[in-house]
Amino acid sequence: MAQQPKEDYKDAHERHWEDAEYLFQAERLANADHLYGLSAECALKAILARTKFSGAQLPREFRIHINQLWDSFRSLAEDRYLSRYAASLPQDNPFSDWQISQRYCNRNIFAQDTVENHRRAAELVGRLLLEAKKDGLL
Amino acid sequence: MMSEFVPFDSLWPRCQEAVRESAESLQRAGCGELVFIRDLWSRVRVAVPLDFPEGWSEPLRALAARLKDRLGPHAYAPERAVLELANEDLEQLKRSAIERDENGIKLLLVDRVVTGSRWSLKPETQAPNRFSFFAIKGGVGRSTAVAVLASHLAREGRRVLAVDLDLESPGLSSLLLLAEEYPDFGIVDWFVEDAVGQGERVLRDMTAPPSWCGSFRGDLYVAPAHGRLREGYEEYIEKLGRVYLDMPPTPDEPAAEPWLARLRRLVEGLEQKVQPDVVLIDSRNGLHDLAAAAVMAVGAQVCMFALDNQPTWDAYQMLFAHWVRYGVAKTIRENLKIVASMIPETGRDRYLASFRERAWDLFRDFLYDEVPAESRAEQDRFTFDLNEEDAPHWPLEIYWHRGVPDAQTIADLPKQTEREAFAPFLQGFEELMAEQR
Repeated sequence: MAQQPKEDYKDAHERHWEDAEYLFQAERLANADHLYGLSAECALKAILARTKFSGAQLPREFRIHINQLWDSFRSLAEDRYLSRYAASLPQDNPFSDWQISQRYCNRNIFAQDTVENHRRAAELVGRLLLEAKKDGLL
Repeated sequence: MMSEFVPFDSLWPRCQEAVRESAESLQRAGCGELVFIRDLWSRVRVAVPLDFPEGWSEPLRALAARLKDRLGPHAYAPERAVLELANEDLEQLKRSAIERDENGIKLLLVDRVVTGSRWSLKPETQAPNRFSFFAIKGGVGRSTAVAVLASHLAREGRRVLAVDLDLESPGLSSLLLLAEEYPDFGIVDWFVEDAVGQGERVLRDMTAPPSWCGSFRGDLYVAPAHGRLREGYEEYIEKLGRVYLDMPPTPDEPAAEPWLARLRRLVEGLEQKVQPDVVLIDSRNGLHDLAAAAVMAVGAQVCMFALDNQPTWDAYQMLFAHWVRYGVAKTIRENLKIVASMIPETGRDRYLASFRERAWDLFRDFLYDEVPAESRAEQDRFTFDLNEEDAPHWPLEIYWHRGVPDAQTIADLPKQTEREAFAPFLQGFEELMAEQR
């Protein structure tokens, strides 16, 4: 059986973001949207992997996508240390209308303002990762 | 071979050494400024702009190697020792930095901490009628003094708001309010309900006047840490654990609101409701974030309680030294007044003489401006002689009295006892208030 590849959430966040931006500039909205969601997911998982579950695979309840992970991340934050990151995330999940299965959908369903919303949210999560970096977490 | 022990306090000087040795090559490459970050684990790295010039690479590599060498376990591996940040992020870091100069290179040293960052905040603009009461060590009679002062000022005709911000160990409220007089809600309720948009509702019912103040010329309103204890209202610790929460952005409020800003909003809300002449805020003691908030962030005059003993002066010295390092000393010093509390019954004069001397030494060493021997121009300098009564180091005096601890509430405190223990303090405070106006 093939070996499970090793996760690098931080790098995955960065490459998804960079490619999403590339596609967004080229008005390839459908795939840009897909990658903004994955980019935000990887950023939150990068923080979780270094705070709560260092060294081990993320537990099953966190192996979810950004439309669910956003709320789980906020709910999990409890100590002052992790809550300094969670507190920057708005309560209303901007990815609630994002789904991984949208990759099978027609390109016409991806409206400009929805994608822009996801872009802004992914940028916000990216800034969170930057704070974690300055703290020495990553 | 055992590796060298590298203590925390040596880190910035060691960074300076490393920069000193790299200074020439850094300057040649046009690098005149470096930001150092000491992270949560007290490991140090250098932050530079994303698009730093090619010429910096070599000197930075050399610097990273020197840092590894000097900082040992506090260093990053050289290949991770340089963090590249966008200019705006770098600028944001610089705002909380302390500055050093090393051979013409400006060093900006940034600490990332889990708690305690509020002690280096630039103090808020003055709110002349707010006073915070802080003690670096507990058990010095601070809450009792605030309660006596609150009732005294109300008796004299003032409209007083007393806020019990000692949330981890509330005491002021029970010295002023009888159990059944408490309002429905307290400060912890405001914080949890405000987080879901119900702060206004709590504000309506979180202050109460003590009944025994009814005949006073003025009014006293107490904002307690918790509301009236009753069935179905017992979850204090659960609420306390949520007080220090920053508020995330919302569609209406796109910027996050740090909890300090929320605390300010609470104090303003209380003031708007009570319309007081004077606000007395009983702070938590010690070097806690909540105390830092009361001292640094609400624009209050700060009465600092002290006993004449070594642990007290040592602790104040650590705080004052921090203020100097972070460049806030020159602002905060304008707001300070020391209080000598629990002055012993016997040998008072000797005790007070020693107290003043040591307080003066401390203020001179850290907070007062130095006056050169030949200079006579003292007008613009913040400096005081030992015996200047309006100086921050000249204490308001509270005398230890065997009758004080017996009183369950301030209503039980015999007038005679109050006079003997607190008269100079009350008078001194009134003078302090007059100065503020």
